[in-house]
Amino acid sequence: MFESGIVLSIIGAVIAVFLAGIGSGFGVYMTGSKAAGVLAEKPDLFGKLLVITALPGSQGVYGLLIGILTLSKIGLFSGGAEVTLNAGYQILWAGILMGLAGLFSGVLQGRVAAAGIGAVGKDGSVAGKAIVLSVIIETYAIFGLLVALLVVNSIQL
Amino acid sequence: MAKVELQKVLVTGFRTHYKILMQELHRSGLLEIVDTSDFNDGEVETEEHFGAYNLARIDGAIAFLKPYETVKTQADSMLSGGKLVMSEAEAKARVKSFGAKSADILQEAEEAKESLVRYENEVIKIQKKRAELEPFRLFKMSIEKDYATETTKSWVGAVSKAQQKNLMQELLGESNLVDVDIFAEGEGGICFRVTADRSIVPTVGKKLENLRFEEYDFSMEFSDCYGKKPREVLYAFEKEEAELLEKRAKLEARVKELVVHLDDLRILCDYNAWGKTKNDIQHKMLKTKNLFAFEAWMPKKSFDSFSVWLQNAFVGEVSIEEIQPRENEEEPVLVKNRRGIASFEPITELFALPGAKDIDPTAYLAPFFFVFFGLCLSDVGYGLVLTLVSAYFLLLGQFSRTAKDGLFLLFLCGIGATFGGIFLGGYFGMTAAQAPSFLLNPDFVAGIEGVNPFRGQVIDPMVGQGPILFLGLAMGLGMLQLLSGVFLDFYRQMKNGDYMDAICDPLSWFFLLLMIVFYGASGFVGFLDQEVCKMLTLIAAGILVMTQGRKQKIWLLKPLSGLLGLYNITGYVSDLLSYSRIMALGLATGVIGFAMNLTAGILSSMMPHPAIGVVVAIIVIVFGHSLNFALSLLGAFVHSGRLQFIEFFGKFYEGGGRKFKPFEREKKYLFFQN
Repeated sequence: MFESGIVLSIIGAVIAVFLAGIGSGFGVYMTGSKAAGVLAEKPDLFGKLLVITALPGSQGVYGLLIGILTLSKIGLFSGGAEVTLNAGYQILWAGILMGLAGLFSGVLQGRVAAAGIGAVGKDGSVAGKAIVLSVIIETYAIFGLLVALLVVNSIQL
Repeated sequence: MAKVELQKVLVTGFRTHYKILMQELHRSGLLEIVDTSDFNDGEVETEEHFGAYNLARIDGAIAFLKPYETVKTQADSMLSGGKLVMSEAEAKARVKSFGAKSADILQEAEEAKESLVRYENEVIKIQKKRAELEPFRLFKMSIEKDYATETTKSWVGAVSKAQQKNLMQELLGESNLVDVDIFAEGEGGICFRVTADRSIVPTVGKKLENLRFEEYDFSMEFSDCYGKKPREVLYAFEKEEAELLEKRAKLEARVKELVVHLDDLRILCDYNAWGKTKNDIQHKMLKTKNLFAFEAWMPKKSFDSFSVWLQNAFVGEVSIEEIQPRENEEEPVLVKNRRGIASFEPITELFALPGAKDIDPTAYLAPFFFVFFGLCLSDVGYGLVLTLVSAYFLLLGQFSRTAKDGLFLLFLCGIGATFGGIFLGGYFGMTAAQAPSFLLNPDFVAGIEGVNPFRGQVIDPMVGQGPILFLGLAMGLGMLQLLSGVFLDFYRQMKNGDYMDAICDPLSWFFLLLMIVFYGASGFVGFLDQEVCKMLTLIAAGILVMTQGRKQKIWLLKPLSGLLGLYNITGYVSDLLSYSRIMALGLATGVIGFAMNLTAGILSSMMPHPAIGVVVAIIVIVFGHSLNFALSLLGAFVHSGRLQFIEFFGKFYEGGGRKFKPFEREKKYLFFQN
C-alpha cells in the first residue's frame, strides 16, 4: 500500500476530507445545538444565528477542496496519471496538514462560535463581534489550506 | 462627510407650545433628547398605562391574524421590505376612519383567538376519550361503576394477546359458573368481560392476576356516562366533535374575513407606538406648570436654521441655546457619507461606531472591501446573480434609505465578484473545455501554457505560476491596506493634535514599511536602486529605535525600549500573512464549483437513460451551485470584513461610539411615500 504513489495520494485526499469534515462536524454540532436552544427563546434571531452556526462549516469545505484538487491533480477523473512514490508522499503530507488544521480549528472555532451564540442570545446587536471573534480561529485553517494548496498544486508528479 | 459634528443644545419654552413643538420634532427626527429625568418626579398617568395596554392589544391582534394572510399578499410586500407603502395623508385618513371601528375588531379578534384555543382543547379532550373508549364499542353492557349483582361479580379489562389461549383454558376450565366475553382484539391485547359466581370469585380473581390482567376503571373518565352503552357514548362524542370542528371552521372563516383589517391594524399600531414615544419623552425632561426645558443633541449645521424656525413658529416663546456637554457625558455619533460609500456603513457598524477620537473609516474601507470581496467570491456567474437580484429589488422595490443602502452594498459586491471572476476566469466553476466559446480567449490553445483560457482573464490561479501570482497579489493588496491603515493613524493623531506621537509612531512606521516594500521591489523594478533602498530601510529602522523608547523615564532604557519597539515588525508580518486568505477563498469558490460540475457529469453518466441523466445533472448543478454560492458568499463577506476589523482597524481605529438616536417616528409597518 505504501509503495504506490497513487494510493498514497488518495489516502492524502481522504484524510484531508475526513479529518477536516470531522472538525467541521463537531464545530457545527456545537454551534447548531446551542443555536437551537437560543431559538426556542428568541426565534427572531434565526438569521443571525444561522450565519454564526455555519462558520465552523468552512473547514470541511477546505478539506473537500484539497481532496478534489488532489484527485484532479493525480488525474483520477481523466484516466489516471503516473504518480511517483515521492510525489505520493508529498501529497499525503499535504492531506494530513489540511486534515489536522481543519480538525482542530473546526472544533475550537465551534466552541468560540457557540459561546458567541450565547452572547447573541442575550443581546442581538453583538452578532457582528461574535462573528469576528470566531473568524480569528479560522485563520489557521486557512493557513493550512494555503500551504496544502501550494504543495498539491506545485508538485511534479 | 464622515462624522457629523454634533452640538448640545438647551431648549426652553412655555408649556402652551409643548405639544406642537414635540409633534414637529417627532416628525423631523432632528434632535436626540437627553434623558434628564433626575430633575423630574416621574409620575406615570393612568392614561399612559392605557396607551401601553392598547398597543399590546393591537400587537396581539396582528400576530393572531398574520398567519391567515394569503401567501400572495406576503409575496407582494417583499418589494417593500414587508412595509405598507402609502402617503402620510392616506395613512392619517385610514387611522381616522378605522379608529372608531378598531375597538370592535380588536375585541372580536381577541374573542376569536380565545374561542379557537378553547375549541382546540375540547377537540383534543374528546379525541382522547374516544380513543380510550373505542375498544369497548362492541361491549354489550352499559358503563357502570362495578358489575356486581347479588350472585355474580364481573371484571372488565384486558390482557396481552399472548395470554388469550391461557385465559380461555384457565377460566372456562375452572367451572361452568364462569362466562367470558371477548369484545375487542387489537395489537395491544384483548379486551374482555369475565363474570363469575360469587362462590368462585377469589379463585377467578387470583387466576386473572396470574394472567397479568388489567382491570378497566370507568370511574376515572366516564363517571358521567353510567347507565349508557359505550356505543351510544361514542356516537355522542363523534357528534360533539363534528360540531366543534364545524364551529371552528366557521370561526376561522370569520377570522379570514377579519384579515382585511390587518393593514389598518398595522397603521394603527405605528400611530399608537408614536403616541407612546411622544408621551414617554415628557418624563425625560423638566416640566413645570407653565414651562418646559430639555437638553438635546443635534447636528451643528442645522442649528441656525432650526433656531430661526423656532423663533418664527413660536413667536419667540421657545428659545434655544448652545450649551457645553456635562462632565463625563458621552457625545453620540452620527455618521453620514455620500451615497455609495454610505452602503458600507453597516460594515463599520458591525465592528463599532467611531469613538470620540476616531475618524469615520467607512470611506477608506469601502474600496478595499469591494476588491477583497470580489477576489474572494471571484465568479462571474455568482456575481451576476447577486447583482441582478439586488438590482431587481433596488429598481422595483420601495425601501427605506437604510434598506436601500444595504441592497446597494450587495449590488456593489456582485459587481466586484463579477470583475473578480473575469480577472481569475471563474464562470460557475467551468473549465475551458466546458465553457461556451464566446467566453474563451481566441488565442487560447489547450495544453499550452502562457495564454489564459478566458477572455479578460489576467491570472489563471490553478496553472503554473498562477497560484503564486495570486498569492502575491493578495499580499500586495494587504500591504497597501496596512500602509493605508498606518497613514490613517498618522492623519488621525495629527487631527487630534498629538503631533509628537503622530510623527514618532505611525509616520516612522509608515516610512519603514514603505522602505521595506521598496527594498523588496528593487530586485524587480529597474529605477529603484537596491543599495539606496537598503540604506533607507536601515535609516528608517534607526529612527524607530530612537523614537520608540521616548516614553521611558530612565535614559538608559530608551534605546533598549526602542529596539524592543522594532520587534513590532512581527505583528505587521502576521497581519500581512493573514491576507493570503483572499487567495485561498478565491480558489475555493472555483474549485468547489468545478467539483459540483464534475459530480453532476459523473452522476448523469451513471443513469440508465440519457433523459434521466439530464434531469439528474440539472438537479445536482442547481443544488450544488446554490450551496457553493451561499457558502462562498458567507465566506467572502465574513473574511473581507475580518480583514477590515482586525488587520486594518487594528492600525488606527478604536470604535466604541454611541449611535445618535433621534427622537423620531419609528416605522415598524409603514413606509411613507413622498
